[in-house]
Amino acid sequence: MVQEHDPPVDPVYKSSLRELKWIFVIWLLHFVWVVGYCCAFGYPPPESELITVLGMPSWVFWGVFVPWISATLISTWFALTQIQDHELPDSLPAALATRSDTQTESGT
Amino acid sequence: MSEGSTAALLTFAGYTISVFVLAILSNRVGKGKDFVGEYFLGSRGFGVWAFALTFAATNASGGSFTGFPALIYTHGWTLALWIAAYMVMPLVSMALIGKRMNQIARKTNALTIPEVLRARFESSAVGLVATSLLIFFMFFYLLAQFKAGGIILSTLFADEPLFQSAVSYVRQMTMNIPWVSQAEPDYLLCLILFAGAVIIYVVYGGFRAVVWTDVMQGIVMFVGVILMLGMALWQVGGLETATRKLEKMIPPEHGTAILSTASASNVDQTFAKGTWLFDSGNVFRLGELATIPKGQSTTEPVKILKITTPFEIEELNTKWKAGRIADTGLRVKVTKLEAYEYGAGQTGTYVSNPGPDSANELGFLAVGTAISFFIFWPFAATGQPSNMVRLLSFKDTRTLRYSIVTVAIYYSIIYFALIIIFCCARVLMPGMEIAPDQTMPAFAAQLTQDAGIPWLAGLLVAAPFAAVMSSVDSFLLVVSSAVVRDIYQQHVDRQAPEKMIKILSYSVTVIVGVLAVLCVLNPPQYLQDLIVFATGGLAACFLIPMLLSLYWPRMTANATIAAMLGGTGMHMGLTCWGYLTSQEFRAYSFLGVNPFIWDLVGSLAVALIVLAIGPKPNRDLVLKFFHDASASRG
Repeated sequence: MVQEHDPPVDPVYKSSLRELKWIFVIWLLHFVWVVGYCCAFGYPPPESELITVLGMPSWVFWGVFVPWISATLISTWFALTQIQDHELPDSLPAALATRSDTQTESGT
Repeated sequence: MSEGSTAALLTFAGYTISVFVLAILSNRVGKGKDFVGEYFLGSRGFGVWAFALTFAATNASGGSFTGFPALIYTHGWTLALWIAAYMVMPLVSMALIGKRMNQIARKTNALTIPEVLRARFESSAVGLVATSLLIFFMFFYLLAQFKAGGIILSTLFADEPLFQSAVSYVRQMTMNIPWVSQAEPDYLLCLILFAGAVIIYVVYGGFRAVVWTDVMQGIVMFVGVILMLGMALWQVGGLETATRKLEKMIPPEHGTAILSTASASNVDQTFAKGTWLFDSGNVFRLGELATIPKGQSTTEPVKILKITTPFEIEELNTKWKAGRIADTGLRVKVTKLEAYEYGAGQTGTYVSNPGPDSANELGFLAVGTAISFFIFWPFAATGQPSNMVRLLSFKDTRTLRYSIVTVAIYYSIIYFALIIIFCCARVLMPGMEIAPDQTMPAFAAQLTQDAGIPWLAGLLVAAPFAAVMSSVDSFLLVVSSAVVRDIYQQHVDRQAPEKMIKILSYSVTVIVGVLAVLCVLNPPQYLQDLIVFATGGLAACFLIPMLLSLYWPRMTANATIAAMLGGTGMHMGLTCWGYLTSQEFRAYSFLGVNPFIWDLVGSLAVALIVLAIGPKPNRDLVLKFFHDASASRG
């Protein structure tokens, strides 16, 4: 579909797509960590001994609390350093936009 | 009049005045700007704090402060795993589509979600389908939030003499009005107060007022939760003590009993829901209002809750013998007792997965359910139009980046604190299984009472009220913008003058609000299930089409319509299947997988099929939205 003389790819689209892929990776990483750890250690057999860390069950600490901190730190790092800034276009005045819509539809 | 109830009234009065002041201010700020852009999107000029807190507050609806505490109280620490996906929700729901959608909305001057889709494909049909589905699902949301607002207010004012006088007046006024007279007068009064306040400030201040009040509500929620966390940990003796006690707890038993007195009375004797009953060393809590008619000495069978945890029984008996719990003198003859399906008679269930459950033999959170919820929370939030529309309002990409950080920190603190608070509540306040939705206001009242600062209860209970209010105002605006912008301006009168649009916007907001109030005067039996239906339906309808429209040049108008209808159809189909198999208004979990995932699969599959057999995308549109024409001109 892309042709030789087409204008370059929109930079906002390009960077947003790259960021989207990384967001999926970050989500997947925490999905595996939380669900994996909690499934392995958070479903103990009845009557097993309760181990706590900082007052919470250890499966909550290592399977939810620590990954939650990790996710917050990674989200912060990602938002501050990896999401690219762009100049977003100004909105058209409403009347102009309506006119241009009408023209487009009548033209197609 | 108690100090606590006076504080509740003052809190509400102060809160409502603040909301109206913000609406007046925002109306002044918006003067002189393009009406539609200002009323529905605040002229796209919001900075970090306004944008972050409106996003956070809208997303944290009444459920976060009523349903979620109830679940923690009933099932224990397993709720930490249930809600764990909130750790990535700010990043996913804001960054996945935020920048790209805002860019396209600006490029096309789109102010609503259906408008973004319509403009992306220059197709009226796409806009019309999106608008219809949005109004259909969103209306259920409004109903639920209005109902929650009415209930929270009636809890807040329950002990207020002035309120009780007003309730009597309302009862007399409405007793002969069909439909209205069926509503409880206290609920009716609170519903009207709540709806009136919200409709007035939304109409007067528009989106800007909604955002500014969201900021205030976000702060109220945060302060309320932090205060409760401190008091709960202090009163329980630390988190370690709370968890250790929770470990020793055994799920209670629900049942029925006949209550009797030693001798008959010559007047009716009533016993309120929640009354403690002590008989032969056993402890029960009344699950509904019980009446011993005059001349008799027994009740009909009434709902009761039997406490089964030994240390709770001992503590309650000690308080009763010391006179700290009123002695009713009633004898309790148990007629039926039902143990929990999972966790009955066991210790340790409140501190491990899957958590006790009164109805499900697999427990509250089976492994498959835990996996499903980690997918559901962030992606369903991304697909909610009320969240999406906020992503059209930030002023620049820097605002988006800093808002992601703010919301991530905000959610980390709020949601983890809520889990700890209501695990402490399970230890400090036994027997709330009779009315789990009342856990939050009841615990706020108990904490402040025990701390000797009952006036603070009003502020703590304002947190859930703020959460409900911040959701209602947003949903109200989303529905009215869909009617005005996507139906009237697109299909009735494209050149309508601003004065006409203004009158129409105000009228539609009021009419939608009044209609919602009329519908929730007598809420349908399955209202909670309808909320789940609406949440899943909106995400099923909008997530895949929006993602593909923003990121895939090959996407077409036909495929977008197909994806919206495919997701909706799958959602409706699974809901019907669920109803046929279980007689409950709940979507069927085919192969044990969350229905939301099937909805997304259905939506994607239909889109791909239509793309494969349908026409190719319009090349001009691909160039417009995926290429940088200005660069080639330069």
